This record gives sequence, C-alpha cells and structure tokens, in this order.
Amino acid sequence: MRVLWAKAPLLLRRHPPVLAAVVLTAALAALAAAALPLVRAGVESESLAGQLRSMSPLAAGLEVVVDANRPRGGAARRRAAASFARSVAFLGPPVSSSLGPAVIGGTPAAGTEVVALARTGAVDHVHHIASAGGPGVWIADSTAKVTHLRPGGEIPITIRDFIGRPVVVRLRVAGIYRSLEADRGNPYWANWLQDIRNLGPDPEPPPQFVLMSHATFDRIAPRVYAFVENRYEFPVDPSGLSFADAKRLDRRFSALQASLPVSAAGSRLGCRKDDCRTSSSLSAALQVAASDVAAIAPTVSLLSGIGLAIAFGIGVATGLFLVRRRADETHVLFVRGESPLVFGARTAVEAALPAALGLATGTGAALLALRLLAPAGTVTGETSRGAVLRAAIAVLVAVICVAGGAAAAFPRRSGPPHPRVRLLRRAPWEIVPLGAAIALLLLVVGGYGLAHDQNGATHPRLAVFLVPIVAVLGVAGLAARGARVLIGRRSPARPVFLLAVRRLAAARGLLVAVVVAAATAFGTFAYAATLSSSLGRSAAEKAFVSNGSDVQGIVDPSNTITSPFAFPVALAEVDQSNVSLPDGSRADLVAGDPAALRRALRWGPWPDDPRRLLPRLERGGTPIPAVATPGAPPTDAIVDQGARVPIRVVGHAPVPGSSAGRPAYLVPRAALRTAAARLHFLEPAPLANGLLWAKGDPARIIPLLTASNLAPTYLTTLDHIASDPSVAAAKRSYGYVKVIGAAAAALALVALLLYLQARQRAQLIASALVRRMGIGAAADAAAVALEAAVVVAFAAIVGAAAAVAAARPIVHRVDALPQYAPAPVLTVPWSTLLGGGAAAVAVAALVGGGAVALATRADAAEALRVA
Amino acid sequence: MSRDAVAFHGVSRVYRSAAGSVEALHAADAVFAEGSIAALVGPSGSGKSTLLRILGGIDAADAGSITVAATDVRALAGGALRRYRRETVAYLAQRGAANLVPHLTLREQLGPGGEEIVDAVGLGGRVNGRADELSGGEQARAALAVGLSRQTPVVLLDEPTAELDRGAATLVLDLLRDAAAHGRTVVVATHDPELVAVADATLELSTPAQTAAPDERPRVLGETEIRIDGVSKSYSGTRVVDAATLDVRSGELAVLLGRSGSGKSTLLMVAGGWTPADSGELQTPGTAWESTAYLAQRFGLLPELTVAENVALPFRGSGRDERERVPEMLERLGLGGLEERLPAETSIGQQQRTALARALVVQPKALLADEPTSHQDAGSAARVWDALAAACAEGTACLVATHDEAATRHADRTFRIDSGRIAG
Repeated sequence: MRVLWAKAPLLLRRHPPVLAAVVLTAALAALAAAALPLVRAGVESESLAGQLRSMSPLAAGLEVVVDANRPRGGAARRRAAASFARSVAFLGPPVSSSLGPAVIGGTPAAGTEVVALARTGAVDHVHHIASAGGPGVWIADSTAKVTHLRPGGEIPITIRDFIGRPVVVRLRVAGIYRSLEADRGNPYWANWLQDIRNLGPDPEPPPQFVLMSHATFDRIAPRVYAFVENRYEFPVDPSGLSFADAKRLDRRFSALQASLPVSAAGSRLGCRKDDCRTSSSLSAALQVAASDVAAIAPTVSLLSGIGLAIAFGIGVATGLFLVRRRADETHVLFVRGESPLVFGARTAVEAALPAALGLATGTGAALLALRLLAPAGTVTGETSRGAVLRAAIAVLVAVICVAGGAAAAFPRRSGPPHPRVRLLRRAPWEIVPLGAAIALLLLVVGGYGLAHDQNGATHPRLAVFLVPIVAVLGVAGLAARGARVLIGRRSPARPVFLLAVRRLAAARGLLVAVVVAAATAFGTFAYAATLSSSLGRSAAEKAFVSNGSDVQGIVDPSNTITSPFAFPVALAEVDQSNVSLPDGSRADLVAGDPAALRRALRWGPWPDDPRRLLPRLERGGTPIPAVATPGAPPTDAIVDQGARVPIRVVGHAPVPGSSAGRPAYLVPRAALRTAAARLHFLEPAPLANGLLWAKGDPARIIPLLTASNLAPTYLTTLDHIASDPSVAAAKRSYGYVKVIGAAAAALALVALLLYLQARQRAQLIASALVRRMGIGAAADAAAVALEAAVVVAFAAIVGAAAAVAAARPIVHRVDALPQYAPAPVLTVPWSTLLGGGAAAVAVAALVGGGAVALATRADAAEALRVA
Repeated sequence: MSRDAVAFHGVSRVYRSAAGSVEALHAADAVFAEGSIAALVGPSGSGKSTLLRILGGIDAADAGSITVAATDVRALAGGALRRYRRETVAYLAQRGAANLVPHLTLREQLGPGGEEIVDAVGLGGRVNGRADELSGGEQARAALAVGLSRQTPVVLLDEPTAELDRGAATLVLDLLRDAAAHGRTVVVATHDPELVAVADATLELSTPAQTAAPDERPRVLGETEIRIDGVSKSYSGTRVVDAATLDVRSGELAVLLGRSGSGKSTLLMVAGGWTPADSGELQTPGTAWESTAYLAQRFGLLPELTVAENVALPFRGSGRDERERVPEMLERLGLGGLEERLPAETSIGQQQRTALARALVVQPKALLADEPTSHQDAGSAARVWDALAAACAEGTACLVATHDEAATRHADRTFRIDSGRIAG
C-alpha cells in the first residue's frame, strides 16, 4: 500500500515511546561517533593554543634571519615582509629588526660594546624606567649606569665604517629601559634569548641594545655599515588556528626553509642562498599538543566504541519493541504478504526524521562535551564536517539496526521448522554471547587488553570492557531459563506471592530482555568497579612495595644511622645483581633490620601485610629466616656471589624494594652479614643499592633526611606511583565505564517501569476484576513491587557474579604498572556492589508500585466499554 | 463445471508448549469448489481457526497436502508464500482490529470497488474514519469490507458474525453470497447456524466428546437481587441507556436482548457498578465478587495463571476455602483436562468459559454476563447455558446480555433493549 509509505515519515508521532527510543538511539550514536574527532580536535587545538601562549606566537612563528643585507632599502624590505605575512595564512604582521654592532665612546664607559637595534614596537615591549619624551634612542639601565647618562642626554656611539674608520654618531637618549636580562619572561623577546643573556656562566654578558626607530637606523646605517643584519619574525596568529591548520603551517615553514633563499619573496627580503636562515618552534608546540591528545585519545575512543555498541544495541531493541507495540498492524501486513525486508525498509523511513533530530541532538551534545573537555579548543569547519559525517554514518547504522530489529521481529509463518532449523532453534541463543565472551577473553589474556600511547602510558582496550558485557548477556539468559524452571508452577497461598511467583515463572520475551539488559548494566558497573578497586589496591601496593614508606631515598649501602631521627627510618640493602636460586634463576635479595622495618614500612588494610611476618625474622639464626614474595618457588637456599646461603622461608608477602616478575627474599641484615663472614662473600654486595625508608609527612621529613649524614639522593614519595599517567588513564577509563554502567542500570529500571506499566495497562480489565475478588490495589502493587524487586535482585546478582568472574582472569592482564611489583590482586568492592544492588532493588520495588499506580490511572470502565 | 478451489487431505497440526503438546487439528480432509461458501464448524478448540490459518499461509501444517487455487501451499516459502498471501487469499482473523492497519482510514485500506462494499456493510458514513476510531462492531464489518475488496480468489473468514447483531450479520451473509456468486471461494469458520445454513459445503471438525449431564434442578425464584429503575447513561452527549428499568430475582435467569450498540453492555456495566448512572436508581447485592460476579466481553483472565488458578482466584481473595468447587465447575463447562494450561494455550471459546467458571465458582448472589456465548459453538453454548441454569438453581440471579435470539429459550424472562430503551 503506497499510503503506508506516504505516511511513514511522520508515523512515529503516534507511538511516542518508539519515537523517543529512536531519537535516543540516534542521539547516542551521533554523540559517540562525533565525540572522538571533536574532542580530539578540541584538545589538540586547546593544547596547541596553550603551547603558543607559553612559548609566544613569535617563537612559534617563522623567523627569517638575513645576516648581511645592504643598509639601504630597509623600508622596502619591511614592506616586502608585511606583504609576505599577508600571503601566508595564520601569520600575523611581521616584527622586523635591523641591527649592527657599535661601541660607546666619550663617556666613562667608553669602549663598551652595544648593539644598535631597530625593531618594530621594541620600545613598547620593554619596561620603562625613565623617559624624557620626544624622539631619540632608548638605552638599557645597565648602559645608563655605566655611562651616567640620563634621559635627555646624548649618547656617543662609535661605529667603524666599512673601511675601519671610526665614525661617531651622537644620539639623543629618549628613555631608559630595564635590561632585558631582568625581563626574561617577556614573550616579545622570545626569539632573542641568545642575544640577551649568555647560555653559560663564564663568558661576558652580551652587549645591551640601543633601541632606536627604523627611521633613525635607516638614516645612520648607510653611513657606517657595509652590511646590516635583518631579522623578520612572523608570529603565528592563534585565533581560529586548529591543530590541522598548525600542522599545515609547520609543513609550510619547512618548505620555506628550502625555498625562501631562492624565491622572489626571499629576494625581496634580501635573502641570498648562503646567508638566509629560517627557524620556527611550531613543530615543538605540535609535538606537545599531540602527546596531550595521545593521553586522552584511547579513553575517548573507548567511550566512543562503548557508546556506539550501546546505541546499536538499543537500536535493535527499539525495532523489536516497535513490532511488539504495533502487533495488530504487523499482523495485518504479514497476512497481506508484506516482506520483512519491506517492513524493515519502511521502518527505516519512519525512523528517518526522528533520527535526524537525534543526529542534531547528539552532535550538539558532542559539541557540549567538547566545551567541557576542552573549553578553549578550536574546531574548524573541516573537523565539524568530519564529525557530522561520522555522526551521520553512525546514525544511519543505528537506523539500520532499528530497521533490522523490526524486520527480525516481523511475524513469520509459524509451524514446524525444517529439522536443521529446529535443531538450531533448540540451541539456546546464549551460546552466541558466551562464545564471543570466550573469544574476547582469549584475546585479552593473550595480551590484547592494553594499548600503549606515544607517551608510554597504558590504556585498557574496548575488548577489556566487552568481555563482561557479552558474558553477562549469556549468563543472564541462561540463569533466567534456570530460574524459570526452578520457580516452575509453584503456587503459594497468599495472592501477593502467587501473582509475583507466577508472573516470574511466566517471564518471556520483553521481561527476559529487560532482565538481561539490567544484568548487563549491573555487570558493566560491577566489572568496572572491580577493575577500579583492583587498580586502586594494586597501585597502592605497588607504591608501598616500590617506595617502602612515605619517603624513599637511595643511600650508600654501607651507611648506618648515627643519630636517631624523630620519625621512623629504616635502611635496607637491595641486591638485584648477585643473587639467584639454586636452579640458576635470578632473584632479588632485600636485607634490613626487621625491627626498624616494622616501624618504618607502610602498608594498606590488606591481608598480605609484610610487616606481620617481620617478627619471625628477628630471631635470625641459620638457616636465615626469609620472607618470600607470593609465588616465589619453594627453596631452602639462595646463591649469593657464588656462595650457597641456606634460608628458611617463614612466610609469603610482597617485599618492599623488590622488582616485578622475579622472586624476592627479605632477610635480616645481621644474619646476612654473619653468613657473609662465614661463607666468604661480600656484604654489602657489589652493585647492591642502599635504600632508606622513612615514615612521616614528606614535606617535613625530606629536608631533615637531606641534611642528615645518610645524604639520600633521588628522594621519592608514594605519589610518584599514584600520580602515574597510566594509573590516571586507567582510573579515568574505569570511572567512565562505571558511569555508563550506572546510567545503563537507570535506563534498565526505566525500561522495567515501562514494561510493567504496559503490562498492567494491558491487564487493566483483569486487574479491575481481581480487585472485586478481594485482592486490593495494595496487594496488586505489592505483588508487582515484589516481582520487580526479585527481577532486579536477580539481574544484579547474576550480572555482578558474571562480571566478577570475568574480571578475575583479566585483572592481571590489565596491569597499569607492569614494571612495578607486586602483580595486581582481584579486589571486589563488596560494599559498593552490595550497596548499589540494594539501592537498585529498593528503586525497583518503588518502580513496581509506581507502574501499578500509573497503570491504574487508566479508566477500567472505559476499557470494559470499548472491549 | 466448477473447479476445486480449496483441497486438503490429512492435514494435522500439533502445538507444543510448556504444558505439553496439543493436537489442534487431526487429519482434516475436504474439497471446496470454486465459487462456493464452505463452513468449518465444530466445538471451540476443534481446530477451525488453525485450519484457516494453515490455508491462509500463516501457519504451517505438520502433515497433509493443501492445494489452494492450484497452488501447493505446503511447498511455498519466502517470496512465493508472500505472493500467495497477497494475491491468492484474504484471511480475516476473529478480532476485527487484527485485520486493519490502525492508523489508516477505512478508505485508505480498501481495494478497488471497496467503497461499494463499505456501503453494503453500513459503514458508508465512516469511510474516512481511522480504523482505531471505529467501535468493535464497526471494525468487524470494516475488516470484512477491506478483505473482500482485495479481490482475491479465496476468502478465509474466522467467525465473521460472532460480534454482530442479526441485522449486521445478515448484511455479511449477503456479501459472502455475492462474493461466491462472482466466483470467489469463501471458507468460514463459524458457530453461526444461519451462516452454516447458507454454506454450500460444511466440514465438521471435532474434539473428543465431553459431555455433562444437564442441570435439571428446579429453579426457585426468591427476593429481587438486581433492581434497575429508570437508569440513564450518556457518553459524550449521546444517550446510550435511556430510563431502563428491570429487575432480576434470586434464582432467575434473565436475558437482556439487543443488537450491537443497543446499550446492553453499558446497562450491565452500570448494574455492576463499573460506571455510574446519570440518573435512576440501582439496587444490587454489592460489588464484591461473591455479591455480583461479572463476565466481561474481554474476559480479564490473568495470563500468567493457569486455567485452574484463574478459576480459584476469587477464593484466594476472599479467604474462603472451597476449592473443591473448581474441578467441578471446570468439568461442567467442558474445561476438564485444561487445568494446567495457561489461557493463551487454550482457544478463545475455552478462555470465555474459564472466565465464566471464575464468575460462578463462588456462587455469587448475582451474575452479570456480557455475551457469554459469543465465542461458543452450539455444544459449548449449551454447556454455558447449563452452567448458568445450575447457578440459578443455587440461587444466583443471572442477567445475561446477548444479541443471540436463541438465548430466549433458556431465559426465565427476556428484556429487549433497543437504542438504550427496554421495550418489554
């Protein structure tokens, strides 16, 4: 029927929930797709703008230095420079300089070298100390000091002309400026640092500038100079400059380096082949900006990927929901011979306008996200167009998902299927997600779980987060089947329980989909929370193992504490070079005073506290008592510098000072010394390090330690691990995924509310009749609340259990700091999960009661009348 | 000589569900000539609808051969099957709304020449109305008009007159005769004897016989339980019930007879306390289920409860423990063996009887039943009347709204209602 196609574009306004779902799907897809290029471009440009600010537009711009120009024609060359600046995009008006050497004569400072400098706007960019007004030159305060000159006086400058004769030029002093050496942060002079101060301490400071106007310089130069030096600085104009623009500009600068000396433009600046140099620091700014982007790009990519996956999933669900909601219509069309593909295509047409609205909303949200993440970022039209194109493609795919879901749910001829199809249908659908989960798990376990950015930081990949999502999908589906069998046909006596139990036992289709979606949402949250919690503990443990205590320093291993500190301090010898196990494998040996270590070491509230084992070391003796790291091979000896040293492992715990991926043994140093004397090996061992561990406020104790006889070097605190970029990146990723999981759980609760409300409305007549049977509204609401609470509790338990199970093998594979011991330990945030689950169950019960209340607002009498 | 338009042999269909397997159709055989009207008759649950769906290419048979308009239906798949549904058969489901695209007007759904058919079914004035704005009776007629206007050689109709009054049903019969006269083959699943009477061929489908002894206890009339005195009710300015007056005594079976739209359902709703009267006086035993039980046209069964649990539900609410009445009531209404099935696993007629069983199981003082036999074949309808008679014998005052003239045979008193007014 053509009329169906004609009405399709506006049809969804008759189905507000489907309309809302399509808009949401499209918006999410657009947001996820557009966010990556927009945020990337925004962060790049913001970082670039920051770099340009800090290094100054002049330094980042193009500098052309012509060593030997003829003194005449300066004005023409400046005009040529201005013309050149206008011909290159994003270059500001040039700052032109002409300079030549000179000597002060006839004053107490006769013979002092200076540089006669005419530079565009120079006087405006120095700090004025004194001024007489009127024309004249400006001299530095240091020059004024040695020449005893004041504003209004005359400075005699002696310049040797091109045949060596001294020519004295007297110039009026118009003002005195503060020496540029004392004005180092002035961005206007960023390219002149080598002319302002010495790079080393020994040579004399460079000559001061005598600042004059171009007119003055042009007037005196032909009389005294055969050649002058010209510098043309073309500043980068940062307004509207995107990262891509800057890259193009940088490439242009590189090209100019080769072409300028031989080009007409260069010729107009006085460039010749051998005395024309160009330079720019723009590439350095670009590098810094790129590394800033590299730090956030994996997280944004990850979120973009997750967002797209969720959007496409919602798209398919929307298609299924659409068919369910329009059951009569689809049945009519099916009976009249419509193809599922044609229905799907028309669904796509129906979804087109809402999707366009979603595209606009999502792209707008992406721009908003850009403003949040990079408030000063610049997005060019090109980037915007690229982002919109990506968003449009994503929305198109989302619409195809909606259409595909609708086509898949379109009625089909029922009846006995082909034996092969029957076999396929008997296979539970959960096999597919579980298979995908196993495949992804293998990928992650095989080392695909982490990406390394160009800064060296590690980031979890999308696969890491997909594992629990697909695993929970499968597990929740199977669990729902099992639960239905368990509930079976139980028939409790009380109506509240009877209704709840029987509805749960009858759960099919949409309710199972809601359960699976809720379980997946809880699973995603639980998984990210578990990884985050494990990361938190791992980073803290690594910090304690790596740093020992609040402060760690490197000391001479033979040092001893001669005067007591007001805070706990312990020394240890760490030998990572000379020790092996009897089978030849390398091991670390850490030796210290157990009592001092017990006081000085730090540890968290975890069961593997090494300090609880230290009393066992205090007894000493032979074999030497030792604390071994978890997983260290059982042994009764170590080999130190070739000598077999018997040891007795008294327990396992992480050993401070040990390195990753290698067993370590902590022994009492006194016992080690005794053994060394007995077995004739060196103590301290060659190449062994001495470590100092001190407990207390680092700000207070570091100065005291530095001033002590221990003279520690390379003092570090726990922060150097906690603030590691890899830890920060992983925390950020897990945090985002937790938010996504929590948001998905909230959406699942909304879906549950809509489902229950729709079901209660469909059963409006039944509910009204049941009320007359003595099962009141309160009992009805209680039954639905109980049902909703059980559904959510079930989803939360299944989701969390599957997620924790999925996290177990992954925690070790997504170690943010693999270079530090110990290996991560699975840490389940039970209180968070239990609290979150309990809150969700409580909300679900309210949702159930609310669904009954919403549904009963409809008029049962009206429903009876139109039946 | 007319050719065979529909022929099937040994057609069987078994439905499998959690409650077990149900043989909905067993080895059905028939041949219907082109240009004929064929009636499929049999008790509810005998497979009439299933057979129609199989012929319509909506359901597939487990066994047997089916030829419709020289097409081997069982061999069809994919595009060929869709073309068959589109060009060869027009299938109309029982519920009118299930045959119409709700957001299109009636005119937009009609095929060529459809407007004449619309006039013929008395909907000429509603041709620009959207399908979902039509009343239930109008939807049933509109669906027929749309189905016939598609000009397919074979028309398959499931209970086309079930929800129509006699006048509307007569219009439908005329249309079907006309379609057959123009060479189209009409296959109708029906309980309607008048429709069966005009059929050129009849296929009787059966289920294992379930008989129950009719209740022949004498009815003793007692106090008046339902008194309706000058009750009026309007919707949107239209007076649907106009000063209706009637009374029903304990042990009495009263029938409120009227065509579709005459106001009988509204009067029942007023009597049941579902909607207030605009004026007039009303006296009933109360609105609790044990006082005034109600059988709605949409039965209001809880889909998650089994047949037996639905019937026993009033006892759970009241706290009474008389569940031994449940199997007795199920047996009386021919629902034995269906106790553990969910409503969706039974036929629509069985669902209607389940709802009646739920109403009668508590021995209410009064029963208001809206079209209790609309989805029943003759045998099942007899069971329904027998169950109502038994309830009256136990002292229940029964007021039954129906368009079925045959109901008067079972009634102690009949009230005829037309345009909201009770005639006598």
